Amino acid sequence: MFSILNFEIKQKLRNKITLILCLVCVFMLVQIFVTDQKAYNGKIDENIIHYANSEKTMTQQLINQKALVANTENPLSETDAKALELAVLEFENLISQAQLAQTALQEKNWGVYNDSLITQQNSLLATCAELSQLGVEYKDGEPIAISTHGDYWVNFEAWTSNMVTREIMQAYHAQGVPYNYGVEQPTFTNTLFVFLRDYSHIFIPLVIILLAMDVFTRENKDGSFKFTLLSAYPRYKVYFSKITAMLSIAVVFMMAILGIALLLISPIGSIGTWQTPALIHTDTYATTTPLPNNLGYDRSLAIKEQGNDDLAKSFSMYGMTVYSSTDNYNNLPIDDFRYLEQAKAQNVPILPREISEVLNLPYNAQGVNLYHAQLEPSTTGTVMLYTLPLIILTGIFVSSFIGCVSAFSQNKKTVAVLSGGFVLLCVLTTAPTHALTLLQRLNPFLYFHYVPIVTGVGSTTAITGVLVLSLYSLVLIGLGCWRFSNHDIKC
Amino acid sequence: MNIIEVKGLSKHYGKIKAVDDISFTIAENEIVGFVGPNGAGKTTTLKLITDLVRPTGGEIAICGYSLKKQREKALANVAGIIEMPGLYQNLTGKENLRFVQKIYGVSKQMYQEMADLTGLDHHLTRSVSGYSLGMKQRLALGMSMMKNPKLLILDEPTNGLDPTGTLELRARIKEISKQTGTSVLFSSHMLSEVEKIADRVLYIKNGKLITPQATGITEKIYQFLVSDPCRCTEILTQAYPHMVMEQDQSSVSVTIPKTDCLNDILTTIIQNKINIQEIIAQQDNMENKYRTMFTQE
Repeated sequence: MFSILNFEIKQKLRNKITLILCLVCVFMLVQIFVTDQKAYNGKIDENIIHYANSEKTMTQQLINQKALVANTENPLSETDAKALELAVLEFENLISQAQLAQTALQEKNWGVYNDSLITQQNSLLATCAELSQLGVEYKDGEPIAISTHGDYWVNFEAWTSNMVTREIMQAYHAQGVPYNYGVEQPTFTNTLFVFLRDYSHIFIPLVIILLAMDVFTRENKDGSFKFTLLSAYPRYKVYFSKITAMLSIAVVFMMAILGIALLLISPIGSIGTWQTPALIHTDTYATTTPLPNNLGYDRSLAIKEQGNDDLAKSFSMYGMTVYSSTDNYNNLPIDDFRYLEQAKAQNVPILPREISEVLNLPYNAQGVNLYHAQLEPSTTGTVMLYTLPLIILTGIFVSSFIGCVSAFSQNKKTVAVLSGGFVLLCVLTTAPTHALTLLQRLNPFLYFHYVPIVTGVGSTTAITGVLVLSLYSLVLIGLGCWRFSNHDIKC
Repeated sequence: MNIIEVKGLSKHYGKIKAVDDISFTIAENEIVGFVGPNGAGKTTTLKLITDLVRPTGGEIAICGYSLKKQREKALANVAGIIEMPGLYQNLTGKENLRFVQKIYGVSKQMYQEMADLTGLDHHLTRSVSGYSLGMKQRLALGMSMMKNPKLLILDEPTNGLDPTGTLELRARIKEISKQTGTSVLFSSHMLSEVEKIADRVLYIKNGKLITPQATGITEKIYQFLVSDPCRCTEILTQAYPHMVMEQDQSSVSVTIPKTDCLNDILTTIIQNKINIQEIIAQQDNMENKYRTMFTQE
């Protein structure tokens, strides 16, 4: 067994095509890093402006509330006043960041450039001045919730996706962890994470297929199977050793690719930290039942219940329906608006740090656990560890597929064509959504989207993936082994 | 003792009968040629014996072990080169040998012996992809002999080799059989080659064995022009009862299975005071046989 492994790896190392393939993979990882870095340079400034704008809106809310409180002859408590102080401090900080961002943008003249930046900045400064006139001072260091305002999405899925991001953000803020819309400084660890999140569902199966495709068929073609099959080993052992060889080759070369990429990326972007905030779903390895994912349902229901014009903008733009999370009248997020309505009715002051908790209310009212309440803020390192079983099973599944196809056809061209079909299915299968049917959950390609699975974004779990991939792998290995053991071998 | 016993072996691909109910045996230390035209079923039979192809019917026993029921034990005694020498092209000759050493679980000493047997010396450190066909054959032979098999199967071993390579390989096969006592079953459609190596020959046509058992390979007909053909026939029939003899007015024709016997026959005739006027060696008997078997239709 080990001899076969050893010699397969040796052979691959001597194969120029394999080496070229590895270099292409390294290039791809570096490219992800470069793209990330470029996007980061642009987006980091964009985010600062975005946050500043968000804070402006929220501060406006504070001002409104302040006025409301003043009108109702119910002065702010000492704690509330301190919270307001904190908000103003944070707000001022964001303004200064926005100024820096503006300078940076003007200097670089690339990334996101906003023509109305100066107008916005002046507006922010005016709001700040207004707050100062109110005599509000903020305490430093207290977390402040962030909401998105006035953002539009071209379809419901995109809107839901944005909501997921928002929920994630809220989940972090609820626990006092700053979350930066997922835009992190491009480092090796971040590149790896981005790779796992966005590219791995195609890249990993593709690399395994390209590396392992000829493990059987080359032997058929060269006739070298004769020596192996004339050894005093049962055929099934030879078959298993070949499957293991495929898997080992994939692991060895994947490690080599990552190692080389690490060497190239690290001097530019540093290795980074495995502690970067990321999310896992705590139940993802505990249950095969679809995770409660009320996100899409409840929010869409909220829109339907309240009517398009009341809570959410919905209009046609270039023939498309456009959704917004913001209501028409008060420019507040839908759920915040609900709460504010209640708060107004009860004459309760609204504080910014409470905004994140506000989201719980409509869900709790329906007896549903809030989506983000089940999410556990974690680190990229943990997410990667969580994805590891799925990655290993992907390797086993792909190897067993190649093994089975090779055992049946024993023809390089047929294996290549079927492998192409396999990769096509990887490309066509999108990340899990919140409303998967049982049949969809049995699609093995779904579980190549490792990060969305362990994050619990779709209505399926990692343990389901483990079971599904294991089942398919066992069936394929069994079929391939039976065929290889009982039929003629071309060589 | 028979190294291999084949009984009623068949291999059908749909309606095509590639091998049809063939039976034969090969004894210890015997070199047997397997002769037939292209598509006769030679390679399929050899693949059946090496278990690369599964039979439709029949039984194969190698060293007493049934290939079907005791596959691993049976195959432990067989090595072979079927069609082209199947080597790992990206590896060096040494690595190829090392691989086989590991999977066959043989000693380092054996590895060294086989490395020497290939005669490739410093070429062993080169990648096999750069080898000539002759070098590949030599390496494959060394790899096959690594497990010291009792039966060596070679499928058209000299195909594509230049005259030097052919001569070398022939000598090597004979040497191996002589030194290790390995029985050899080799297929070929080159009659001269079979004649030079094999002790016996199996003729196959359309998947069927034409001769139920292997026949002597080096039989030649010698015509002796002698003074007393009648007495000569009597004496020789008495001394060599299994030989085929024909007598006419002036000569005796004897079919001799091995050229070594010629000396003995001549001595017998001379000792009986019969004058030999002339000896005429007739055309190769194997070619005649082949012509008879394969061109009569």
